[in-house]
Amino acid sequence: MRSRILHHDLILRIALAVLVFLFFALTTGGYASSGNIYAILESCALVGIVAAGLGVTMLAGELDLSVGSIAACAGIVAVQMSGSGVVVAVAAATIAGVAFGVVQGALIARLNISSLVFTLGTFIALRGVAYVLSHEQTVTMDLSNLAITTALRERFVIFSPFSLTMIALVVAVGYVLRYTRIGREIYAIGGARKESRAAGISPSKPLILAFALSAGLAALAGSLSSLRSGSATPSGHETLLVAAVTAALIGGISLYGGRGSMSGIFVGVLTLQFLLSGLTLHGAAFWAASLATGAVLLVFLVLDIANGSSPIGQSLRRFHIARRSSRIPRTQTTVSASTPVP
Amino acid sequence: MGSVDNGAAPPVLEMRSIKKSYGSVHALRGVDFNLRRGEVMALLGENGAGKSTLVKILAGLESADEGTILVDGEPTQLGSTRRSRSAGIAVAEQELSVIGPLSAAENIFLGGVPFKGAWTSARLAKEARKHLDAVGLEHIDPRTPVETLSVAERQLIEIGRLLARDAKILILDEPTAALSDSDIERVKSTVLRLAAAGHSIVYVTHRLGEVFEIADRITIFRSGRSNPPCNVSDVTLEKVIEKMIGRPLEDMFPRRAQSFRAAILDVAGITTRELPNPVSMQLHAGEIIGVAGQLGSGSGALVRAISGVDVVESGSIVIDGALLPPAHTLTDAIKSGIAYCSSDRKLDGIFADLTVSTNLMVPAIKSISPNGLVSRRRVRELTHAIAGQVALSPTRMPHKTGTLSGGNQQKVALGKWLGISPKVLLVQEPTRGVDIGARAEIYQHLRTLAEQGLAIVFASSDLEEVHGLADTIVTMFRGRLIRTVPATSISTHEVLRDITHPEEAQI
Amino acid sequence: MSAVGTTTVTSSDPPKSADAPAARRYLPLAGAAVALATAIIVAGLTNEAFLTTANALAILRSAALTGIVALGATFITVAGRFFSLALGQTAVFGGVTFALLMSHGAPFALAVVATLIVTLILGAVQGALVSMGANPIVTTLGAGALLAGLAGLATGGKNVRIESTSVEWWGNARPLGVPTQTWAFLILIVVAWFVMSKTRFGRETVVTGANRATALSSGIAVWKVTTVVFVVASVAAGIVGIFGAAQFSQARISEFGGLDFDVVAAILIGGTAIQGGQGSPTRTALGAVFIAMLQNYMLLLGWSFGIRTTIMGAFILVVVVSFHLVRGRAGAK
Repeated sequence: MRSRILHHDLILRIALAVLVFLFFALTTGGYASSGNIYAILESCALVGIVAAGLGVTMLAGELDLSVGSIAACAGIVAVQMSGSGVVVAVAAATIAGVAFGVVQGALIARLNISSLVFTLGTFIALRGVAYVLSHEQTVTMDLSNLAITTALRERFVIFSPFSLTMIALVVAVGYVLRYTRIGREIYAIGGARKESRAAGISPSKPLILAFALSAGLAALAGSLSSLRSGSATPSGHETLLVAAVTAALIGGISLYGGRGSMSGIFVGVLTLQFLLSGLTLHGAAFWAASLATGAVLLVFLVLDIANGSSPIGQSLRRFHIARRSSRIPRTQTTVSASTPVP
Repeated sequence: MGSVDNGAAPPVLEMRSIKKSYGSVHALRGVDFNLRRGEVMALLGENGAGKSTLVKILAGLESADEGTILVDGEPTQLGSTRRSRSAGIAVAEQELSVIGPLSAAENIFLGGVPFKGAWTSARLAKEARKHLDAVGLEHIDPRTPVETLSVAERQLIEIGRLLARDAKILILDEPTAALSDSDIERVKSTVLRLAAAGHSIVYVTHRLGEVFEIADRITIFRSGRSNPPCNVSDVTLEKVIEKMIGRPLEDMFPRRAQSFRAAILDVAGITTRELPNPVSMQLHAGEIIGVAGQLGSGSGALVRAISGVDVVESGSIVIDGALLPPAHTLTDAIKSGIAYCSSDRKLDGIFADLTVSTNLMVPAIKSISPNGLVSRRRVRELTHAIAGQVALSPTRMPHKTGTLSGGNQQKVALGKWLGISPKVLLVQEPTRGVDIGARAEIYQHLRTLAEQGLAIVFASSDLEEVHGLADTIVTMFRGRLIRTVPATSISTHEVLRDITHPEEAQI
Repeated sequence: MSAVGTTTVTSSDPPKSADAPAARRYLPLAGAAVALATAIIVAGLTNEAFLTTANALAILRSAALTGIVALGATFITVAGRFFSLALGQTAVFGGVTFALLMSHGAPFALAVVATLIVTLILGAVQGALVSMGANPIVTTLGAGALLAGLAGLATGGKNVRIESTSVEWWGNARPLGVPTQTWAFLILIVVAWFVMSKTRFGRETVVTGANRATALSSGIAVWKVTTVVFVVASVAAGIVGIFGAAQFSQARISEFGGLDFDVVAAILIGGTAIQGGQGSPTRTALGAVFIAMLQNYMLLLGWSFGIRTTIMGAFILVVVVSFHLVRGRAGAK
């Protein structure tokens, strides 16, 4: 985690982010303006907060598919409660999200069931809940509460409350992962589940924390995003999952678990949003984002496989040995079967 | 050796008349065991003698059916890992449980070891330092990820974790099984140092040489019973070996082959990652070779190398005149007529949820489906033929394989290969988890198959089995082939010596 | 539940062992059919509008499209590779490809074949990635996003119209009173059942899902099986995409939004285990009908989209957890 090897990896990813930025800065007018950077950071905020939580479940060797649906529900709840002020609205949605995540994590741990399958069910169910909560319509904030929207769009040079929140959260989650026992346990159960159990680490607490974080952060991001834009739709945030997973993969979080860091996720989100912003400025149509995200995800997925322990490693070894052996002329020698004891 | 107090104070650990059975298998038939403060007690015995069961009971993973356990003179119940820990017992198992991507310091403190405050790498490193030093890892930076360390260093970190838990009784299960000579020295000196510091150590091993160098006393288990402990200074290697073997030799082995046919497999100087020393072997049709060796000897690695599961890095293998491609794969081997059964049939030997009939037809699936369609007639003929050869009742066909007895499951795991008419059958631990009665049957079937022309290589840690079934015995110790001899010209005694302490063997 | 279609002992063996296997083999299928029949009866008794011909045909038609894809996707699950979440987008892409080819003057048969080849390749790429060790759900998520983008690129965001009477016929005809999609569904049920239980590939799929390690060590080319199951599902989605475009004489990129989830629900409710190694396309087909019925029934009750979706999700959760508990094994971690 803090060995030289990983820092080297992180530097490569930062370099990639810089490259993408420079490419668009040089080829697209207005890309490097403070206005656009503000817009980029804004778009990073939503994906970044969600990716931070989702990334923790990936580090634990799991995956929370329900983050998009949670964000949608949270957005609706927050807008409906906007009359009580931004703090109450966001807090209510976030607490609900955390509670849900705790239950989800506890069930997954207790039942020892695959999180992929379980969260697929909650993914669908919560999407339905979003429609129910909003009565199948887009909910908009009362005009009297518009002050909230303005406040959230407040701009400090290139930052806003939203993007500042993201940065704060990424740092906070990074702290927990790095400097607490339970953070280490998350890495342990992600990278080596069997050995962790043998070493006496129970996966329950780390799993509950991971899923509480992913649900809670998704709820936080969803509520802030909706309050900022002044409305929430039940079909919203459908592409959030793919974007967050892609950002995490770019940032070096391995799907096999146990590898990666919050700094990596931060870099990954930036890289993705640099790309998407560049495409938008170039005048690409609405479906281009989907195409780009999907393509990037697949590319980094392949890189992740090459890194991880897969049959590829052994096949490569065999290939090298076979090539090496074919160059040496083979002589048939029948060595005597018994070797004298030294 | 350690500062042993000779019986003045009560032993730090005492176990009396411990009995433990798993169904009809009596793992422990009333064993006694005691351990004094600051001593190194070696626990010896063949596979199946009951050592691991005793270790599991001490670790709290199992409860004894009968008997008493006293820690520091107080009767204690050890039924759970928590209670075992609070009694001051810590176990380092055979399979390492160090967590690769994490650092040495993190590995020491994870898993319930108390550590207050923020887990910064600086503080972890500082606290871990003294534990690392205590196990001889002074040169290791606590921040190093464990996956970059050698196996020996990982082993020592595992022991370091035990120390951090403030255990007074340490149980080390085969701590040197996978280690090289120099590494073993490190582990040995660490053990001696720990004993000198007052820890009491149970050292489970099959490496008799080490026992004489570091243990104070020896307890020998045999067939679920214990011998009274003796001082190392009072016994010789010969006496120890004598006490270890001698399970009532049942009349379960068929007679050996009188003669062999043509040579069919020629293994010349192969090496793999686990077998750095070149190994050579020749096999004839109709011959059964038994490879004897304990954990870490390379006996399993040899079988896996020929099968293609492990990558062969140099050397050559010729089967029936055809040279296998370098670094051949499992598929290459199967195509050439080499069939392989691993030691863990539940893992990759059988399909537990599928019927026996389906299990038996899988390797031969191409031949029973000539144009892509599975021919029921062919499946029936094939599965019946195989069932006949391994004495599986046809009524078993529609049953899920997982519901069969261990012996029948093993018959399925072995028998399914008959569908491809292999030339060579490689097996690891052919009767693991199989009761006595079924064992005799399996031996008989293997012999019959050999008589029909199959050549068989089996690796086993059960030396009675190796000596009884094989025509030719290959002994291995720590990755080296010690010798290859006809079974008739060697005793089980000598085989045991070869695989545990070959330096004294006379060839 | 034993795998449907495994070969069993014949009459040359003692009679009592010949009876038991046959009964046991068909038990899960019979059970599923009984459950479905019960559901129909209950639904019919509690709601008048349910048991009308028009309603039944509507159910069958919506079941058909989900069902065809579910038949193909069953192979992925039985092979132990969970699910594909790219099938909805594959169907959209298939429809778009077909519509574009038709609108550029290609003959009907050629357009169909070309579209199916395209979906075949799409499936093969995903299958290849998964056989290299990629997580199937994430891979198909990414592929789905990519396909959505490609579909947008190909159509410029607009619907693609098809002017062709033969296409219209295929999309809306009712030979013998039964919609074409339903005919296709029925035929494909037979085909899928046949492939799964009678062909070598089908047996290899079951075996790979039952225990991948044992399959590998027995000489099965697991990577080939993995790749082909994704191809099968992808082609099935392509077929449905063509039908979808045919039905409305246009390809819309907004279609098939919930297809992936309905497919997962159909497979799970049909009793196919997530870990793989057992399952049957016929039971999946019954599952698809059940899902369509459930959706239809809730619609008749006037329940909103939100409630129906929530119930569907909750239902999946309950089924998954129940099967998991009953089977007592970890969900293939």
